[in-house]
Amino acid sequence: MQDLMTQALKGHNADYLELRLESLDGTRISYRGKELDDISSGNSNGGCARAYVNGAWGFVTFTKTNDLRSKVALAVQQARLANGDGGSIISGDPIVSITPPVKKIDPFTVPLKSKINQLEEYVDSLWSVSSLQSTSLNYGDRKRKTYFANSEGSYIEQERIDVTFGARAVARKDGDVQQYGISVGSLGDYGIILIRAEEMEVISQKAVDLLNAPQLTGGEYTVICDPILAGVFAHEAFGHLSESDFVYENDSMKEIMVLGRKFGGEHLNIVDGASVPELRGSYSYDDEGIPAQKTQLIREGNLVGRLHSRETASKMNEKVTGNARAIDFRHPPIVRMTNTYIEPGNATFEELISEVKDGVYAKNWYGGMTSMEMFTFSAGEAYRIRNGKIEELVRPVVLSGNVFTTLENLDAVANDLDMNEGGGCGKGGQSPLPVSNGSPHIRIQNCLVGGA
Amino acid sequence: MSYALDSVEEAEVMIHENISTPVGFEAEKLKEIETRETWGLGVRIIKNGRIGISSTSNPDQFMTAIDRAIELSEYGPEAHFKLPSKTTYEEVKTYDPQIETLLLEQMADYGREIIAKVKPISQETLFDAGIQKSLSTFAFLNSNDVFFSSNKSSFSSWLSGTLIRGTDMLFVSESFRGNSPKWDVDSLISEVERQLSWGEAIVDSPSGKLPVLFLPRAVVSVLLSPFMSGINGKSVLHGSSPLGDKLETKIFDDRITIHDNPMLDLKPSSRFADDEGIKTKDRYLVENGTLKTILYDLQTAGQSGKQSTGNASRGLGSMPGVSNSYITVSPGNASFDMLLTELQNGIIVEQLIGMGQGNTLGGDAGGNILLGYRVKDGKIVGRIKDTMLNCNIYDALSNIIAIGSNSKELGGSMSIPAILCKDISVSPKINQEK
Repeated sequence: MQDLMTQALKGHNADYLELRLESLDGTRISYRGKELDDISSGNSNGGCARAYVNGAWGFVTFTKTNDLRSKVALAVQQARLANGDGGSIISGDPIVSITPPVKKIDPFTVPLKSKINQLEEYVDSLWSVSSLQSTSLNYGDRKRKTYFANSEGSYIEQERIDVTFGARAVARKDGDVQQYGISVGSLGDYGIILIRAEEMEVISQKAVDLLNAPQLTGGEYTVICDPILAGVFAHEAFGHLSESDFVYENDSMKEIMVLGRKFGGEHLNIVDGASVPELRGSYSYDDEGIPAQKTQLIREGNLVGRLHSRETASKMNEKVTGNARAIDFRHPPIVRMTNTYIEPGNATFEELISEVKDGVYAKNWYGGMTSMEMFTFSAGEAYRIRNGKIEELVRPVVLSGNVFTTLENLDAVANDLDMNEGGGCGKGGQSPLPVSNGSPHIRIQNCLVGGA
Repeated sequence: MSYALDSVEEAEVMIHENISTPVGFEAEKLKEIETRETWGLGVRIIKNGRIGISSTSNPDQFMTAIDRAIELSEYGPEAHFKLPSKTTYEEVKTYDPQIETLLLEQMADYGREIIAKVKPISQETLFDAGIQKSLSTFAFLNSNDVFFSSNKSSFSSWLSGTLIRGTDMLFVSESFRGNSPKWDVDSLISEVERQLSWGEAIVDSPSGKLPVLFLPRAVVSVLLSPFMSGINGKSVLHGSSPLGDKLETKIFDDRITIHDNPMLDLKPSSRFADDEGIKTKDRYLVENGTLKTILYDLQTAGQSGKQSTGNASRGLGSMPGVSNSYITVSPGNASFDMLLTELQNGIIVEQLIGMGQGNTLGGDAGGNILLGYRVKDGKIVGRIKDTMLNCNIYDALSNIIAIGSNSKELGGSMSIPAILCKDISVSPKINQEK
């Protein structure tokens, strides 16, 4: 494979060339209610060639992997046609590596029958609670084997296995429908599927409980986020801003994201890194063949770093960080997060709560979205806090706000960092990309909470 | 097919082939030209009454894909349907041969022209643009000799702009999609220009239960999406739709009529057969406020004791879901000026972020207003920020003040007017930054 790919890259006239071949395999099993709804397995093979000439890219993706040389030539031809006006990308050292996959309990060695039995047990357990309307359970595993070669002489083979699991219960009373669920994932470990037994009944019970929970009146509250929701906040509210492809060509964004700018208090430290081992966003090399790193984004409240591809790093004259990722061979790598988290502080969770007279404790998540300046993310579960105590359950809330003010209003960080490996990230039509995010409990003053 | 039929009762094979060429402009410069070629095959078989599905992108792996589908069927869901038998399909035009002769150079020139013409409107705004053409073929065969294939051409173009002042960010955009090439710089630009001009000044948002004018994009993302999940037969079957028992009853204001038509020529979402080979049919989803249709694929219809409505849509490697074709929401009789006069004091929303969160199953919808404007005494006074909008779509579409007389085509698959609703909850952050 190495020879074949290296040969295909020779003798073209381009500033930089790369070729990536992939084999993707996966299985999905889903239940709706008590019945198995979908079980399917797929395999796809394909590749892509990318050429950089004078500041512009040509990109060719294909499922017929014969005649690689002509695919590379087409990419070069397209890059030339784009007729860029100059530009350079960071070159790397040639790397030759065949990286073994991270595997604990490899899902591809678990017989289908065992997976089904396990999932059916969970379905039964979800339904052990009465007054449920519906449930859904989703399992997925996906193996992505990549063969990467570039014009710098690198040749890298990598394999990643992504495992995902989600369970959700829907309860209904008259016209009112409420739901509760979890979503988890891992890098190469089927073990996460085996340990969920106790959570199933809890999920169903919470969905039922929400039917009787009051709606919170919309407005500003002091909000304490649990590690899962705070992790989503770190990803949505700040992480996307530190992706340099939004910044490198935009002078106004450069002003906003100038290194050294104060974003928050001294307790605020945010990191992203694929080299943090054995998480869903971990890898050894990114899809441009750059070694994975750990990048400090905010240190003691100040902006100190950002996420780069070869091109954005070169344009901004900063160090490449190994954050160029593609979901598969159908897409070019773009700047993405990996494992993003707020580092732990000194306070305890109890201390954070005890100082709140009137607020909201928001836990778990449905999703989140950002437009750079504004973000929204939704909690799956919320409680009122009064006089330092967590009190009644309320209906799920949506938190929203301006990123910059909200980071300033983040006034306390606890010491209990936990990582969330559920969900995936979407950007530029590439979704879902395996990532993880995490945080200790955090407290935000004057946070806008949406009621109905 | 004969290989599959050696060991199964029924089988279905589909092949999807696509080649598309996007040309992308970033920060006003031609940045990337791509060629994307994909080929994929999907197999669905029924053996001992159970369904097995698999897919591959490799033509040589055809037999393996069938074997794998057979293997999976042992655990697969029970089939509550029979594959359809032979029928005659009507023609619908989704292919324009002009796409074949379209050159990358022409697309690049078009992009340059868009950028050159839009830039003078706002020097401060940074623009991105894209033009894409694609050709795709879909072929379908089942064990009852149902066979068809169809070709589709598509052409799309988009323009977006980002205007940043301090930490204030204004995002504007417009796009077009159709089966035929369309060179219409002016219509792309005039929309973007309108958004920039309405959004120029930032003003405080009003607060409370207010009249809200949903522009077509917001009608779809806020009001229509929860409704479309509500008429999904699977949601109805599992009782998670509020519309399960509402067929032939009034769910919206009399003025709301929603029609789905798969047989319109030269619309990218048109098709004469669905992804299970069922003949498609144009139908009212809502007629004068009354719910007329719940959408079904074969399996869900079988489980529900209904007939498929010909709305199945599937990825190669998964069970079908349902989808609509070309949706038309009937326009009303209010000109835009009349809508503003009716609105008097309230807001206009164009785009939200963070929808699809919260209790969407019950019809709750809302999010943070990404692009929206304040209307004072019937006049647009500027852009509002940091404001949440929340409503229940069944309440909102039952409390309509007026519907716009001009519809806008969105994504080549919808024709949508603006809708003015009353008593929508609008909650701005109290200490607004200017």
